[in-house]
Amino acid sequence: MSSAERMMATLIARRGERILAGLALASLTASAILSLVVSPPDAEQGNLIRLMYVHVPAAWVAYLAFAVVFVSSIAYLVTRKTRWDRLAAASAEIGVLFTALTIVLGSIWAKPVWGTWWTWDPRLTTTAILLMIYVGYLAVRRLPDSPARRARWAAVVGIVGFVDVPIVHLSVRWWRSLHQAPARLIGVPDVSPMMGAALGIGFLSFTIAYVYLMAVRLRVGRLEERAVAEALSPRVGQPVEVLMEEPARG
Amino acid sequence: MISVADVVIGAARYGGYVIAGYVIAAVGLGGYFGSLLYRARQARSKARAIATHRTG
Repeated sequence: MSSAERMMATLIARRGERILAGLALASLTASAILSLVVSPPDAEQGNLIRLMYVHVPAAWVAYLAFAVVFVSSIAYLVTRKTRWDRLAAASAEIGVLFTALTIVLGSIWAKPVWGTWWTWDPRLTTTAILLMIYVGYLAVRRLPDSPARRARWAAVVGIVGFVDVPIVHLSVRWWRSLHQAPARLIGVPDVSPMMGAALGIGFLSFTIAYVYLMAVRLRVGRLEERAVAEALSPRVGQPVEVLMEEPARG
Repeated sequence: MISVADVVIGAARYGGYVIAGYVIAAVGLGGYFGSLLYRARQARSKARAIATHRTG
């Protein structure tokens, strides 16, 4: 890629990032208004149901982020292209953030409804394990090893760790759980149309926020790699651009 | 039927949990976004400093 093409690609990427930022901000604002003002209180839980509009979308994004880690990790092991490793690393970091948010928001919701901040319920326990697996994944990525070997190990953890995602999701069906089963939104919905709309906008806005954070995180990853390449360049006697290229398979 | 008084009392009773949840979500997302901007600035200035040092 020539420097002019690279500059053009950067400009398009930055423009896309800005559009995504606007979309994320607008949809999150719409979601907050719909969830906090427009949607009605629940017949049993009252206003506490409003926590559902952030808790459930946060859990969805965590699943999505770890699915991206899973697919990218497989793609990395097959192709050995660093772009897949970068994608997995970025998604895992954001997945950990959303899993932590899911747990904290769930805990805040549990206190007034269940009477406790935390209980060793199957859904809660498997979610805590999920968080630990991906914190472990991020720890593996910081091991002092060759980048290729580190990426390989991280990919293995990213693939094996994903096994916990369906376990988390199905835990409420497999075991006796205090946690409620997922609400049905398609077909004959379990919730009122306005609640369904608020939840749908919540899903959409959190998904856009995830895509935007991914775009920013990937750019940060490139900048950090550039800083390392700048430092390495005189030592290994190779230009920065060469060090930033995809390494050969081996 | 839910009266206005019920809504006000309910909001006052559990409003703190709801507000805390939304504030934590906003702080979590905003904090992470802020940390990304900080990392980007750090990496850019580090790369620039090394490049300047190298080229003299």
